[in-house]
Amino acid sequence: MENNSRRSIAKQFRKPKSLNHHNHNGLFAEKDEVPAVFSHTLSVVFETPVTGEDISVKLTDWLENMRHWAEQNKFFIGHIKVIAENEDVFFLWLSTTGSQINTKGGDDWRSNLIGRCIISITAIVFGVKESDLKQFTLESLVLINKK
Amino acid sequence: MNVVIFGGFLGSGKTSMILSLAHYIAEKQNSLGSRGLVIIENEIGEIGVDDKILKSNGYQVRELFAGCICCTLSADLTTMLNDLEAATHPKWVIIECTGLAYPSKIIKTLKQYGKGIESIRTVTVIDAERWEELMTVAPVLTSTQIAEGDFLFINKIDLIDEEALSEVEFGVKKINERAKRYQLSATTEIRDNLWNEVTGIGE
Repeated sequence: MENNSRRSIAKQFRKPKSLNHHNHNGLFAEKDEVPAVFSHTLSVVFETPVTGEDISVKLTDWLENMRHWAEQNKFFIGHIKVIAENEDVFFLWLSTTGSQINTKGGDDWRSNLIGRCIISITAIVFGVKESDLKQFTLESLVLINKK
Repeated sequence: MNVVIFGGFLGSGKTSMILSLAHYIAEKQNSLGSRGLVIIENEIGEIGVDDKILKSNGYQVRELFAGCICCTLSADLTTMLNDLEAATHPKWVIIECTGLAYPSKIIKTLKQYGKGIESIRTVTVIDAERWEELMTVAPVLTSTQIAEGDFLFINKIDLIDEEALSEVEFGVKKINERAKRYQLSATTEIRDNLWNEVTGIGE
């Protein structure tokens, strides 16, 4: 995302009236600086084993989808993180704050052949209702299972 | 028990910094004959993500989840630290705060109720790439985190130009003039002398 585009989003960002009604008595961010937070875990089983690289591509596409949605709606991404792992050695972590997508993985993660894995995500986004964040995140996660 | 608290906004690079510090302490521990290192992860959301990265590098990690943004963190954290002190007496404890936390409020509780704590140092990691946006979207949170740091790491400097970096430096210094400031990026390794200063090891 271009810097000018991101600055434009930030400037147009209107501090929401209490979108999230949690009582946080000042330990955390100021009332109008509280984001929507959604975490989710799903178990994915692949009909035929895929490589870690394949999973990375799917998760990158998912993150791109989230980024695009945030940009289109002028939401501000705090942090979106996703981890994929299984009971063996496979481990893959991706995250974005709205610009680039960072990837980290365990040893030989790209070439690992994976039959199934657990995917955990946490999305922290400003300017959106939690219910909307949850809905869009779940809808977009469905794409991970698609071929 | 020496405590190093890492604060700073979401995605600023705290976890990467902690990995570097943990590696430094682990190397020094052999020569110091220290009792160990524990990392406490406080994550927003109900699922741990960052803790898995730290665990995959072989470190002891304890998790504190703030499933919704609530005020019980300080109490839970203090309990956890006191339990650790009683059970394993770690020499070093690194705490990664969620990017939405004010470290000073945690420190206040630790100083009041914590046991066996010899020192508490706060490192605030600042995302230089998103400086303007952060000061627009969350100015109070960002400014307060910076004001509360003993050490300020201006991170991701490789992603901005010199003019932008000057603006960040100016803005950060204006908020907290007393703290030591360092410019860092993922492309340059953090030198031991920086961690020497943060931890006091070798002084």
